[in-house]
Amino acid sequence: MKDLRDDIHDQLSRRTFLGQAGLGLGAMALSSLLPATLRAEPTQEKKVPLVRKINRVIYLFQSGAPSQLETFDYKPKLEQMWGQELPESVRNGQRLTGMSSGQRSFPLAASAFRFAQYGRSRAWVSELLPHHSRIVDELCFIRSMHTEHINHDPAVTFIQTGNQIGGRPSMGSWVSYGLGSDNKDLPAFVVLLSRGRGGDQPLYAKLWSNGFLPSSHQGVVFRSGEDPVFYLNNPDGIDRTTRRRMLDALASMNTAQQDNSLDPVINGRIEQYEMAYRMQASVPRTLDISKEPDYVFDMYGPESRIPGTFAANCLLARKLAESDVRFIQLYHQGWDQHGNLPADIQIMAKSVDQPSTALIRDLKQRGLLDDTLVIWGGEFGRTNYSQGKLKRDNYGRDHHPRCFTIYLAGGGIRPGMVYGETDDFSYNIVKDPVHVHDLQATILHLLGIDHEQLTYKFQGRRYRLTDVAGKVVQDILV
Amino acid sequence: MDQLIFFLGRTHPLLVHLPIGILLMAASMELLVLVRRFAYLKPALPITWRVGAASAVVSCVAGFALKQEGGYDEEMLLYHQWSGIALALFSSVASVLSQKGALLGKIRLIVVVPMFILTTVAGHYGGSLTHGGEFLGEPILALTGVESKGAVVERKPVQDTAQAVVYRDLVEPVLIEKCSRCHNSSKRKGGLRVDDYQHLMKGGKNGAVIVAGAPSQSELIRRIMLGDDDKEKMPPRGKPQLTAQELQLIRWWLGEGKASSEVRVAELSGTSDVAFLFSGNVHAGAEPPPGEAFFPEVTLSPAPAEAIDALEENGVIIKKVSDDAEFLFVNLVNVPEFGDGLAALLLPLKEHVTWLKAGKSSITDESLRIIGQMPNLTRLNLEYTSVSDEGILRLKDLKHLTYLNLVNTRVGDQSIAVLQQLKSLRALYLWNSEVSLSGAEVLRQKIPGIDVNTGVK
Repeated sequence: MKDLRDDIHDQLSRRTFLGQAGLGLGAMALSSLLPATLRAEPTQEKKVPLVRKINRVIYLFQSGAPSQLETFDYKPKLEQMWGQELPESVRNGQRLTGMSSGQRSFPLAASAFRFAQYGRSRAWVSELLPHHSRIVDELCFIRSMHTEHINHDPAVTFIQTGNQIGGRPSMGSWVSYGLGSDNKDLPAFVVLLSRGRGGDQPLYAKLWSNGFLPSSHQGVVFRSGEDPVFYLNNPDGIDRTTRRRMLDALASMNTAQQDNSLDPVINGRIEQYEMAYRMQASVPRTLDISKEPDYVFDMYGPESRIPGTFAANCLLARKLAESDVRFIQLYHQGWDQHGNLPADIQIMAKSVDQPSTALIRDLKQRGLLDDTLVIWGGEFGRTNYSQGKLKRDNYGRDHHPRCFTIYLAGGGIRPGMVYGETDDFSYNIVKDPVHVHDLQATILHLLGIDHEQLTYKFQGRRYRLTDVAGKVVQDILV
Repeated sequence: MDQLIFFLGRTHPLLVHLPIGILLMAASMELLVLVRRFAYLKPALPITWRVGAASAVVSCVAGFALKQEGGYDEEMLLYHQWSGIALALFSSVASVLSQKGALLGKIRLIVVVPMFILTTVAGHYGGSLTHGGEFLGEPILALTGVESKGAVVERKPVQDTAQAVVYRDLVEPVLIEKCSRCHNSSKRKGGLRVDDYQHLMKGGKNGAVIVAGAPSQSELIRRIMLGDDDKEKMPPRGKPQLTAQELQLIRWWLGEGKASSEVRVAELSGTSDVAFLFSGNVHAGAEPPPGEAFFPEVTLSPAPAEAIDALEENGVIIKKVSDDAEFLFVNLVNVPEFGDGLAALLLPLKEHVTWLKAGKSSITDESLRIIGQMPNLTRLNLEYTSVSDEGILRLKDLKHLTYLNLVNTRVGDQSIAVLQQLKSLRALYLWNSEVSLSGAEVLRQKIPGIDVNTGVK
C-alpha cells in the first residue's frame, strides 16, 4: 500500500519536474525551431480574453423540435403546391428517418394556420403565438439554423454538448467551468423541466452532465413544488449546526484522503457538500414564489401558479436570473408532432407563448435583459411534407435537419432582426446558414469566452464545446 | 517564468552594443596593426576578439529570449537573427585563430571583411526591427521632399459628416494610419497596397482582399478580426490595432457602401454600428457605438489585493471583467446585509470598479457618497434598495455610466435634473420607481439614444 502511494507521489513529481525542465535554455532554442503546434502548452487552459456582454443565459429549449412552418417560417408557396410531391430538386438527396422513408409519397403540407408580419423587422409570426407577435422588436430570429442529425437523441445531445455521442460536458457546464458562478450560494447551472404533452420524447441526464469536467459544473435539476432538490434538506432530527459540524469533520477526512491519493474527484465531492449546505438555505429562499404579486402571475399566464409547468418554470427562471445563476436551462417537452399536428401544436404553442414572452418582458423591465441572453428553440426543424395521410385539417411532419428557426433576445444581440433565409419550401437554406456549432460559438462569445480557447485536455486531446468548428455570427451582434 | 525570459530578452538591445563596438574595434585593429606605428596593438588583439565573441554569443541568447515576446516583423527578424548568429560564429572563429598571434595575411581579410559587413547588416536590421524600416532614411527623404510612407496622417475633422465621402474622408485615413506602414508603394507586404483605392481593390498576391457588399467575406476584415494569437492577424501583434469603431466603419463601408469610392455618408443608411459618425465626432476613438461594453480608456495598475480580500471575506464577489483590463465587477448578490458600514471597504477600489451590482442590498443614500466617487463606473444596479433622490444627487460625477437600474426604489422626478446630465447613459430602468411617465419622457428628450424603461403595464 505504502509503496503504491509513494509511486504516485514520485510520478507526479516526475511529471512536474519534466514540465519545469522544459524551460531550460536548450529547450528554448529548440522550441523556436518546432512548429507552433508542437510546443508544450499548459493543460486546462481557461482564458477569458474578451469582454462579456452578458452575465447569464436562459435557454428555453423546446424538446421534440417545434415546426418552423407553424411558428415563424411562413411559406405561401406550400399553399400553392398543396398536396403535390416534394420536388427532387429541392430534396436533393436528404436522408429520411425510418419513419417516413417507408412512405410512397411526400405530399407538401401547407400550414393550417395563418401568418402575419409584425414590428419593424417585419417578422412573420403565426396566429398560434399572438404574444410573440407583440414583442418581435425585442427578438432576433435565426431562420437558417441547421444541423446534421435527424433523430432526437443525437440531435439534442449535439446541440447541448457539441457532439452527437454523449459523454461530453454540456453547454452550461462549459460556461460554469469557464466563468464560474456569480453567486456562490447557488449552482452555476440549473435545469428546469416541464412537459406540454405527455408521452413525448424523453430527456436524459447526460444533456446537463458535466462530462469530463469537474463534477461541480454539472447541471442541477430543480424540481418545482415543495422540495426543489432531492435529499437537500436535513432529515428529521438534524439541525443546521449539527450538519455543519458533520460536514467539517467529513471535509477534514476527505482532505486527508485527497493528500494521500491525489484523486481530483475528492475535491469535487468536498465542493458538492459545501454547495449543498449553502443551497439548503439559498434554494428555498430563491424559489419562493408565494410573495410574488398577482400581476406577475397574470403576466406569465394562468399556468404559472401550477408548479411543474413551463410558465411556472419561466417565473422561476426569472428569479434565478435575479440571483445571478449563470446558466438556466428550461426543457419543455412535447413538440414532436409526427401526426395530428394541428391539434397538438395548438396545445404546445399555448403552453409557451405567454410565458416565454412574459419572461422576456419581465427581464427587460427589471433591467436584467441587458446582460442576459434568452434563447428559444429546438434541436431541428420539421419537414414540409406530411408524414402520414395529408388532409386539409390534419397532417404530421417528420424531422428535418437542414433548416430550423430559433430566436435570441437580450444583451449583445441585435433586437428586431431576422437573420438568414430558407427557400420557398422551408427545406434548404439560401442565405446566411448558422450551424449549431456557430450558435454555440456565438453564445460563448457573448459571455466573453473565445470558443476556441476554452478547452479541456482529456484522454490526450483538448476538447471544446464547439468541437473543431464554429464561427461567431457577427452579423447578429450589436 | 515567462516574465524572466522577457526580462532577459529586454537586455538584448543593451547587450548588443558590446559586440558591435568591440568587434568593430577588433576588426579595425587587425587592419591598423599593418601600419608600423600601430604594431603595439598586436598583443591586445586576442583579448579583444575573445571579449567581442563572448559578448556576441550572450547577445544572441538574449536575442532568442526577446524573440519569444513576439511582435516583430518575421522576415526582418530572420535576417537579423541569422546575421547575428553568423557574426557570433565568425567572431568566435576569429578569437580562436587570434590566440595564435595576429591573424596572418589572407585569413585576416576573410575574417575582417565579413565582420564589417555582418555587423552592419545585423545592426541595421536590429535597428529597423525596433524603429521601423524607414527610420534611417526618413529625414533624408524629407529633405528631398519625398513624403515618408506610413506617417500619421492628420485627420482633418470633417465639417459636415453627412457630406463626407466615406472612403476618402473616413476609411482611407484609417487604412493609412494603421496599415500603410507595411502596405505602401515601396513596402508591399503580401503584394498589397492599401494607401490608394485602385490598389486596395486590386488586392495582393493572394487575390482580392475586398468583396464589395460582403464584409464577412472580405479577407481584409477576416484578418483584422482574427484572434490575437493568430499568425495571420492584421495589424500584427505589437503594432497599433484598429479600434472597434474603425473596424465597424470599414465593415459599414464595405457592406452598406459596397466599397464605393464615391458614396457619401448621407447616401447610406446609418446603422447603429456607425451611429457615432452621426453624433458629430468623426475622430475614431471618441464615442463608442451604443450597446458596446464600453470601458474608459485608462490603464490601471492591478487593484490592491488587501482591499479585494477584505471585501471577499464579507461574502462580496469580485471578479475582473476581462483578462486584458484591470476593471472589476463587484457583486453583492450574496450579501443582502451589505450596508453603509461595509461600503467604506469599496473606497480603495474606487478607480477599478466598473460594474457594481448592489441590488437588494442594505445600502442607503450614504453609500452613494462612495459610489459617486467611482470615475470608471459603467454599470450600476440599485434595484430594491432604499436609495432616494438625495442619494442620486451624489452620482452626478459618473461620466461613464451607461446602465443604471433603479427598479423598485424611491427615486422620483426630483432626480431628473441630475440624471439628464449623465449623457453617457444608454439604459435606465425605472419600473416601480417614483419617476413619473412624463419625467421619463423628459429624460428621453435630454439624452439622445437612451432607452428609458418604465416597465410593462
